[in-house]
Amino acid sequence: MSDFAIEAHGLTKRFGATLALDHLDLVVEAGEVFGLLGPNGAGKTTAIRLLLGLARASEGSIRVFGIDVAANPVRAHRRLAYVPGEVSLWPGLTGHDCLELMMSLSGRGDKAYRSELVDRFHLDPTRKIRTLSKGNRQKVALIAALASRADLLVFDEPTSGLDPLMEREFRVAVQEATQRGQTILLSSHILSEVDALCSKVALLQNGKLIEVATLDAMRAIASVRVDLEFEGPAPDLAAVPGIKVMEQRDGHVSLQVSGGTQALMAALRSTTVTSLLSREASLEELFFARYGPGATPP
Amino acid sequence: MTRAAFATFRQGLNRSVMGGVMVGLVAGLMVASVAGSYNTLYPTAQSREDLSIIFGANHAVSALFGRATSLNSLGGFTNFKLGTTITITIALWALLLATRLLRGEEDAGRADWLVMSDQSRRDVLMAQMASMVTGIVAMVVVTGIIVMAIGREASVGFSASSAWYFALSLGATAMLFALVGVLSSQFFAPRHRASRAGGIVLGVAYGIRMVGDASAATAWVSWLSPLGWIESLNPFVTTRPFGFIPIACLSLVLAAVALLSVTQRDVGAGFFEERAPRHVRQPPRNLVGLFVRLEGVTISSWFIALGVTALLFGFVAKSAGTVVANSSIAQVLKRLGIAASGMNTYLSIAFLITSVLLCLFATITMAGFSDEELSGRLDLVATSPTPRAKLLMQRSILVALAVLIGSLLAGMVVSLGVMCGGGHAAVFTMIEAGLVSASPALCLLGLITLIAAIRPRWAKAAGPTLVMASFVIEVAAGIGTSAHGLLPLSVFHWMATVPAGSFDLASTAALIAIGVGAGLVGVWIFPRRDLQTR
Repeated sequence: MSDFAIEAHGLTKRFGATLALDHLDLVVEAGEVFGLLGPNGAGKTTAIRLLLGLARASEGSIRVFGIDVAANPVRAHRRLAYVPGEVSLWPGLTGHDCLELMMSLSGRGDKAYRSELVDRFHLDPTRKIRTLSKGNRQKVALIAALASRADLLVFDEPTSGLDPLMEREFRVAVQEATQRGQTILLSSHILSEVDALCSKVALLQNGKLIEVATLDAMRAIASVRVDLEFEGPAPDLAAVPGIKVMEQRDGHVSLQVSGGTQALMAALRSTTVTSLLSREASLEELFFARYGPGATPP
Repeated sequence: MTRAAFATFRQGLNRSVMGGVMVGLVAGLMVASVAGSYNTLYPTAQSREDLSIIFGANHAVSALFGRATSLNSLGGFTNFKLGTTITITIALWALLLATRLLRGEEDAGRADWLVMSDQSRRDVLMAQMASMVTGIVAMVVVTGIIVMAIGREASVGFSASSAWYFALSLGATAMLFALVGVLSSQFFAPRHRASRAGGIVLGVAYGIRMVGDASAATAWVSWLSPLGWIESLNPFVTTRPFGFIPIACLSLVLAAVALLSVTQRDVGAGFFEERAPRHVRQPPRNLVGLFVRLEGVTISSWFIALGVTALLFGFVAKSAGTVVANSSIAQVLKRLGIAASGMNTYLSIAFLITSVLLCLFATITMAGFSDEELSGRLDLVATSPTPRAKLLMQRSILVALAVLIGSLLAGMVVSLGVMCGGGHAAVFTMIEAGLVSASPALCLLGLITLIAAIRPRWAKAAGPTLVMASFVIEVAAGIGTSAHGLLPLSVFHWMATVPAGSFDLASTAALIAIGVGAGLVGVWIFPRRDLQTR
């Protein structure tokens, strides 16, 4: 049995002249919570649809627990559960009908845990889908996937319609799944969610994989934010190597420091610093550093 | 009109006008088809007189299709043949258009944007009604122009005024039932409940009109039904416009009530909320259960419609058979390969129409699979450990089973109808005829399965298009046009003409083999392409 939950090699998808995914190489280890990040149109959903066997790759291959998805989709589907970003369910069925149907179709599941999740997510399963809000429809799909106890849970923007309390409940449920050894692939725009849940992230842009790393590793190579207060006017630090001045007024300077802080410390020796605050970059800052205006590719 | 109101008006305009033009074309072509066939089917004064005597005095026929007046004239025949069908078709179109534009927009949440703009709720409703009226006007204009053009033919001879009178009568029907839809959209949410409420109004109106036309003593009852008012317009026979008065009055009342009530309810809601189901149904636990839950009501409705149609066909078979025997219909049927006369000939035509209904049922129900795919619902099912080919194949087999059950039902009910109408038909032959009428439906079912497997976006339109194209070829070839050479392209041409003719194993087997072959190719292709969503 493969140690990898997902292995993609040279995965490429073309829609006519459009290259949606360009030779993606990706490995997700079993038991990992893996984040897929990227701006709109980066190829995240295409990658997920190829992983699920809903679309066929133009080139390359993708395996789920060693099973070639294109050749054996049914075997692969026995190991996974999926929550799409736009949940579309049968309007005439109740939430309970949908949960029961999805559990029966998947051929596995934990009914007791499903009931617990229904309570925790405050879902009224007796209501018809057509009367449910977007968030409540999302809950039905989330509960069905989580209660399936599948080895791999694939979430494509899973919390886009949930309120903050339910988002927190989702994070708890994901942590429970991780503790049970389940693997999770999470595509999300909510960076705080990825930051809180994922041990590793992949950044996609224009169908290409830009970077795969643990968040700690990404932070280590990213710039550090430093806020300084001086007694008297602040010195000019713009010429110091590896330093980018973000903001400067009176005795206050905000800097981005990359490649170590030795040069900054040397420059500060002749000054009187009254306050120094340093913190590592948040995922949001990392994301904007990659994709924002004036972004510098890694 | 403010810019916001104009934008609201334009939002519904495309759908209204396109629908209006299409319905106008269909109405015009139906008139052309009926008027064009009259002289061929009833070439002599004697055959027209026979037609008039047999159907004019038949109360059951009057109750079902409306009063048969002046059947010995082209105008009377056209009105009798089309009156009820075209009225119901146009009423349904207008009703569904109204619920689509009003309740459909609210269900989708798009109406919120309109209401939040610089216009009142009443302004929005008036702008939406204006776009509906424009669509109805388009329908009237298209119908009027086509019927006027047909009327110029020497063999037809409808005057321009009678053509426009006919078109206006359709316009009045559409207006009245569009306003029924407007009002039901205020009362009920979501759209399907609003449409159902409007449909019930139409059904009750039809029932009252039936009672009114069932005998001379109950004739006054017709005036209690909007369909009775529409019937009284009697286009192509008279130009008595009195029926327009109650239609206009009721239309004004409906519009006024809708405008008053629109501000009294929440956007997105109706006055009558959907009640929770009275009993808890067993959840579907497999694909068959899901199919039954999703399509059960639709299939039951089709079966009821099929059963009622079959019963009516059987009920009037004896008298209709006499007309057929005395007319040149037998010659027309000979051109189509049906060499018999009397009741069996008539029943063969009845089973041909039953087959058309079965084909529409099969193709529309099968196209529902593509709807599932395009809506994204199939994604959840397709990521379960069920082979994708099985999803399509199972659906196709279930629809085929429903077709066979429907055809069996049709055969048995026709037999019952014949018996109730005082005629005699062997039950086994009727069941055989019913089952044979399923063969074109099974053929088209396979083709739609193939289309759904290749291009899901085409599946919805492809079914009715194939069915209607086949039917038009069959009818056109029957009345002696140059379409005769196209007959092999019609799926109905290959259907055995039981009970007029004998069961033809080769053609029936060929139809089924084409369907099964196409279906299997579709099942093979389907897992080999990407699933699509809207």
